[in-house]
Amino acid sequence: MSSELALLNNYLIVGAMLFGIGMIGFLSRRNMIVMFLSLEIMLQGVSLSLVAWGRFHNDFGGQTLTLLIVAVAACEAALALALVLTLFARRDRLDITDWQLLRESNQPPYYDEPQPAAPPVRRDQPLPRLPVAGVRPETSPDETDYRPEI
Amino acid sequence: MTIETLLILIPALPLVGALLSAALGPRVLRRQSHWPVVVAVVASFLASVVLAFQVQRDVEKLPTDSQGFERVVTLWRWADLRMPPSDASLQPDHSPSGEGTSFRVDVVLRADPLSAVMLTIVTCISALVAVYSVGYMHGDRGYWRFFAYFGLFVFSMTMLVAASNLVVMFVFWELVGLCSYLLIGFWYEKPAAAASGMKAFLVNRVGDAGFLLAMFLIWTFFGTFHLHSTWSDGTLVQRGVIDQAMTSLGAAKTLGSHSAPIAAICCLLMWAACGKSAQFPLHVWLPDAMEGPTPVSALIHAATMVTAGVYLVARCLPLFAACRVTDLVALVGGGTALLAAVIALTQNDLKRILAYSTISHLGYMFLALGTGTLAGLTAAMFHLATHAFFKALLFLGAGSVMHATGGVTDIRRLGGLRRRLPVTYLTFLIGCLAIAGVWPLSGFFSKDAILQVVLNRSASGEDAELYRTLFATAMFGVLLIDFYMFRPFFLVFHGAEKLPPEADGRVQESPGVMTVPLMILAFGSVAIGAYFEWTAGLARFLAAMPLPSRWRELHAGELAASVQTVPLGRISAAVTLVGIALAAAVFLGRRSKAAGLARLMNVFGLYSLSYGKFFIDPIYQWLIVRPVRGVAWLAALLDRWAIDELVDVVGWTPKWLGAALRPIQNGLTPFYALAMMVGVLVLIVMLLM
Amino acid sequence: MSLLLMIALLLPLLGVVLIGGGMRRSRIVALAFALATFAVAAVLAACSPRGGEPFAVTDWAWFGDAATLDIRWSVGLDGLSLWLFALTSLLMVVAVLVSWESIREQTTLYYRLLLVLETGMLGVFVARDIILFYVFFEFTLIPLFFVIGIWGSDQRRRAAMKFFLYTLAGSVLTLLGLLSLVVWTFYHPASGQTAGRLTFSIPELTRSLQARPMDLNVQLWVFWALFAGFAIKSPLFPLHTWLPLAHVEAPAAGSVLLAGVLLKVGVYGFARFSLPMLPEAAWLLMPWLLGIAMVGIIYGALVALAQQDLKRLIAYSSVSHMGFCMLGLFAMNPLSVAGGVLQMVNHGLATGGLFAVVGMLYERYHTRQMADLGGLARRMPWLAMFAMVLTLSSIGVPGLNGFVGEFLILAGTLQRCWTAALSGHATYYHAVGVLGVLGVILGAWYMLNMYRRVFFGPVREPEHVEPPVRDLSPREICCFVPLVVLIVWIGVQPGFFLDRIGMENRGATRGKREVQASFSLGGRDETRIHPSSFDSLMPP
Repeated sequence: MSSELALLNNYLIVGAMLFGIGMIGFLSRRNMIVMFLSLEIMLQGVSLSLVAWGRFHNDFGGQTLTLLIVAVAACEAALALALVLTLFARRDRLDITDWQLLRESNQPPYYDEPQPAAPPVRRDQPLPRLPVAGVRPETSPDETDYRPEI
Repeated sequence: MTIETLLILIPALPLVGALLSAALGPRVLRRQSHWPVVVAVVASFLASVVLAFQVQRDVEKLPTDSQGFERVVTLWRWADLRMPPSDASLQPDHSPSGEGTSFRVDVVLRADPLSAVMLTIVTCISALVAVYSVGYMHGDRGYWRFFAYFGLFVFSMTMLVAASNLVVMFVFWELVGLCSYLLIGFWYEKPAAAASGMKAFLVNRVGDAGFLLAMFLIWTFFGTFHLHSTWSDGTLVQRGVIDQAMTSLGAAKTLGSHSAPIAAICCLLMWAACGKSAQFPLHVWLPDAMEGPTPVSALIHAATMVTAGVYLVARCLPLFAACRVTDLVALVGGGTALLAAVIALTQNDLKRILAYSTISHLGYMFLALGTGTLAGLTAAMFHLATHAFFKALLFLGAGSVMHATGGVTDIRRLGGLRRRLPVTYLTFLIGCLAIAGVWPLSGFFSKDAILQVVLNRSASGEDAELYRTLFATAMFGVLLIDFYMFRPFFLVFHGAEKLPPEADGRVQESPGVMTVPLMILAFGSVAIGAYFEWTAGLARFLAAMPLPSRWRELHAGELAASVQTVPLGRISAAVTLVGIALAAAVFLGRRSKAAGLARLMNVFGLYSLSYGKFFIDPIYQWLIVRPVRGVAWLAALLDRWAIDELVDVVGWTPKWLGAALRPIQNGLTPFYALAMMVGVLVLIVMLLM
Repeated sequence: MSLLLMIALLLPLLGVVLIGGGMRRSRIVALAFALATFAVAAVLAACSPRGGEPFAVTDWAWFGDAATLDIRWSVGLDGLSLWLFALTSLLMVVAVLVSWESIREQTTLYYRLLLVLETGMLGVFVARDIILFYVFFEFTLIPLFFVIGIWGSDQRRRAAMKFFLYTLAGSVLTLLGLLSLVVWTFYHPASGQTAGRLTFSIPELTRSLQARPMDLNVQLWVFWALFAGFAIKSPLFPLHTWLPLAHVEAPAAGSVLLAGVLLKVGVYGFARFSLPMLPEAAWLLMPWLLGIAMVGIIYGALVALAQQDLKRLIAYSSVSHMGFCMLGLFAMNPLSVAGGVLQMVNHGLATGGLFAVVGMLYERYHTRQMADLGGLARRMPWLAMFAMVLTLSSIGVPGLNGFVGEFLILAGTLQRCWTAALSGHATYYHAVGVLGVLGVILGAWYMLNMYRRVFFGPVREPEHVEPPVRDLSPREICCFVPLVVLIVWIGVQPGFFLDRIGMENRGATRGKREVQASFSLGGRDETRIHPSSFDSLMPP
């Protein structure tokens, strides 16, 4: 085994470990910020292997792609943190399982413990209410009455 | 006028009359709606008479060795489909040439002695009944409708008789059935009339199915629908069914390879004839058909339409004789004659008694045909002619009684009408005497002819025992005729005067427009038999039918050999007189005698059987109608709850699949992430493998 | 001639554009265009040649190029399609007249849809290109879907959905079958055909597939694929259950067109594609197909006998009658095929008319239950008279058209059955033949029973109807008169129509190979049957 290959191997192992740690973290944690950090770690694992491959092949493709990833990750981080903050502002909690509105209409919500009464929702900045998925949106009679036959 | 013109005019006139009545009746003619039809039918009758005389004249000019007399007119081509010539698997076995045959159906009318006789009888009775109907139907709401149907019927019937082609014959065979349906259901508000019409149509349809199958067999095996060979300028264009069949049977000498299909054809044709001519087991519609107006019963259900079956069998008689289906014909005829006569004994509805008597007499005609000889054919046609007269007379007489009494037909509610209805009384008496066969009225001669041919047939030949039994049956039947005909006659016209409340006490003789046809028919009933018998005109005339020479030869000797070994005429006359005397003894005196007779009959359960018409209607009801309805009901259930449900199940499958997979969509982000990871892992593992 | 055909196809579309305004204007425009189309179709029929040769052909390149992928705008008429084409244009006039008063909502849209539907239906019958055919074939679904779904009665949406999905599901398989015909011909061109060119032309494909048939097992697969769509459309038992529902829920005009024309599309497909292009498969499957058709006849008649609802009854009678058409085609006897084609027209006239009758009854009494009605011959003599003629035609009374079709079909089928019975399975074939005749008896039973209950007997009307129920208006009489005239004409002189169908004397090219028919209803014996007259089905 040449030293180049050994070096690549080491980098790849580290990259895979980073990815694995991130994945486990993403799957096992429910705090939105921690999940986000795990996601970043996964991303870095991939970036690291890209850089390693680039060096192995002696070109800049890997590094270029990594720079792109870093840039995109920065934007994404900004957006994601903003979203997380907004969500936090709605519920005062960072638990991802608080947000299960995308489930099918006849599925029970998941609670890991008996829930205390929901904290009062702050209404100073109302979001549009999305309907539960799979349920026909309620429309007022005014909207349908003008063409009753359809 | 030439025969051809006459042949076209005879059916065309009533059709035009019917169309005129239908078009002008409701708005223009109103109470005069009968004129087009009456005039047309009478003209048609005159044309038939002229036609018959012309045929007669030509027949006498025929050379002795000729094949018989016929004249055909082709009106138009109904259909012409050529079969592909190379198709060996569809080639009829008897096609005259190796070429592909053609499904060619022309509307061809034919004049030969048989059709000339039938045409004359049909149009004669039609004309008389048409005149009678003017009086009988007077004031009815559907006056024009009646005459339109009437004209349509006469058109169909004359076409049926004149048709030379089996398909065309079938067309009008069903059309007369349709007219019968329309006329039975003429008073459609009466549920019974509507139901009877439907029953008549359906039972006829069952018979017609036999006709259809027979035609299909004929097409498959002979490749033509013409019964008789087609000649053009003395050369043979196409050999007819009868000729082909006789050849193939003759070549085989014995029951050849083709006798099974031919026998099947004959059996099916007989089945069809049973339907139309109301023979057992398809006779059930005729008594119910009496719901129609009485002139209709007289014309369609006694004199003309019901004889179409006799006519059909007579036309194909050589076929029947060749494959010995004649035994079946005789058996059905004789059996039905007795069965219907026994039923007629105990019925209380005047028209129904007459209906059963019609069935019985048609049975006699079939019995004569069942001998399979030219003499038998002549006897059957002879009886057909005389029966048409006296049965039409009796029905119209019954109609006259109904007209006078407000439509009452129950003979128990009538009595002693002879003083109030003298003309009806006299003509009805003549009818009764004629049907009973008192010398020298027409019934005597025709019935005698039938008995004679059956006796001759039973003298020798195959199945002689069968014919001997049938002869005895027929003789016994003669005795019964007296009973069942004179019972209503005595009850209605003799005894104490009984008037039903429907009549409002105003029972009086019918107008002249009704009684004159009665008198003419009475005259016919008296004279026609003697005329035919003493001049022997009918036999000579019918002998000139175009018949296969082989059959002709076969029976030529038989005709000559019919030596009267027994003084049959005297015996049957004696039987008749005894019968009338017995009937008078039972029914003229006190009623108790009749009741006693009924009790006597009921010792053997006979009275109940006869009164219940041998329970044939309920048997059909329970064996056929209800099971079919039950199956239909089951099929409807099956359709709704099994087949349609199955389709719906298929339609719901995607829905159910979706419902089964729904829990996966639980809205938990970690679960989605896990699913994604697992999916990727599975993909990787699959890639690596 | 070809110009006339194009005009007939495009006139309804022009009508669609011109329709507008309120009810009065829309219906007059629709009637005018339906009448004009009918007039053009009548001229075409009058000028049609005897013998059923193709005529009025237009053949333009459409898309693709002639060298490789050749999809063409190719339309024309021949014996098979001529009378169906004429029937469609006639029934459209009837449909417009029937809707005259009864459609009061969104009339503009309604008449537009009807005219669009007309173009679709006419197109199916004139298409000489497989893609064109399929486009029209599917296209007929959409307007009718809306007609049923919007103007139908209570369960209209369910009915429309079922009708649409059911027929669509079948026709997807049909598309597969049609394309496999094309592809097979591409890879196995017959001699004299340019190789390497994907042809979609129906006459060319037929010629090629008859000269060089597919392998037998491929034929069987393709046959069943085609069968899926055509059998559902026809409909053949047991794929018929969409029909009663759709008929019951559809407005009167929808029923008229559905029964009168759309059912024929399936049978037409069999006659145009399955039988001529897959001759050996058709021959091999003949016993089964005869059996299916026969079961359909008897079953449809029995279920009709048990119905209480007029429309359901007539719908099931359609199942029975279409069974006769299929029987005629599947028997592959020249007589029966000609009869089957004619019977399609007959059924369109009679059943189309009967649905119009029920529509008019419904308009007056708002019920379709036979139990609610009775003795209407007294109330409405004109309607009773027309209904009587239509009923008689439907049960095949001679002198009217139904008899001609049934007679030819049964004559041919029984000839086929009896000749086939000589080489085995005699009982089965005899049963098929005799049951066909039984179907005629049952047909008379349920139809006459219906007529008796509705029109005979004492007058019985639903209570909520205000007493003066009027008889037919002149407008309504007008919609029956042409039907009755044709019914009588075909009955009295079928030769005129049969000559122009001319199914029996097309040029003969038969399948080269003899088919080893392995028809094993209960035994393992194999019967050798000679391939026969499917060549009579060869289109131009």
